Amino acid sequence: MVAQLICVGVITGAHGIKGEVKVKSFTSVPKAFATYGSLVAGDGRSFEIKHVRPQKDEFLCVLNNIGDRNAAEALRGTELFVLREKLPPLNEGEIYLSDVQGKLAVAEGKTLGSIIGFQNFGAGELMELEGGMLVPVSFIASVAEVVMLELPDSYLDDAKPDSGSEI
Amino acid sequence: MTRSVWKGPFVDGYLIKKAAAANGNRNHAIKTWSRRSTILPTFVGLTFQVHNGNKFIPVHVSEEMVGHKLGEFAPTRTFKAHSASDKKAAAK
Repeated sequence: MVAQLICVGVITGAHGIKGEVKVKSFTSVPKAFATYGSLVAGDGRSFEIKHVRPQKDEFLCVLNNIGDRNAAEALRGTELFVLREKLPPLNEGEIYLSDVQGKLAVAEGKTLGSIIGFQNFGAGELMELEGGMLVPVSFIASVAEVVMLELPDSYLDDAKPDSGSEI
Repeated sequence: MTRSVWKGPFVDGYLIKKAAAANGNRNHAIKTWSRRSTILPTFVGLTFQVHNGNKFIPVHVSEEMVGHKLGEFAPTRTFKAHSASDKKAAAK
C-alpha cells in the first residue's frame, strides 16, 4: 500500500539571515502542523522542526540542516506533508476531508460526481463536486466506497445554475 | 442613537417568512437572491442557498455569523492565482 501524504503547510519564504523559514499552515488548528514530528517534502526530503513561533498569520520555523538564508530561500514554495497514519484518531462522526477527496458523492440514489476539492467562504467547509456543484460537508451521512449525502428537500434542483425567476 | 441602530437590521420581509416556515423543518434549504439581508439570531441552524450571480452557494448559519449579511458568505469573484510565467513577465 502506498503511504498517503497529507499536505499540512507550505514554506512561503525565508526570514532573517539564520535560516528561519516562514510556513503557512493548512491545519484546522494552525499550530498543529508542527506537532506531527518530521515533515516530508514532495521530493522526499525530511525536515525536523526544531523551533516554531507564530508571526501574523504564518509561523517562523527553524529546520534542521537549514542554517543560512540562501538555504531557506531555496525552500520557498516547498509543500510540507505528514503521513496519514500520524494524524490523531477520530471521534465518532468525524472524518478527515482528505479521506473523502476523490470519492464519488451519491444522494437520493443519484451519482453527483466525484469530490474534487474543498472551499470555505466563511460559512463552513463546502465540497466541490465535478461540474462545480457545492455541497456543505455537514450533509455527509456516511463514508464508505462512496460518500452518501443527506440533502435537504429539492436541494439538487436549486443547486443548478440560475434558471429560476423567484426573487 | 445613530440612525443605523435606530432603524434596526435590514432583512427582506419574504426571507423572514421563509425562515419562520422552515424553522420547524431543518431539512430544508432556503434559496435566496437577497444578499443584502442581515443574518438574524432566528436564522441560526438554517441552511440558505445564496446566489452569487452565477450559482447558489450553500450557507449554513452558525451563531458567529449573526449580524453579517448573507452575501458575505457567497463570493462573486474567483481568484485565479498568478502563474510563475506571469511573475516573470511582470518583472521585466
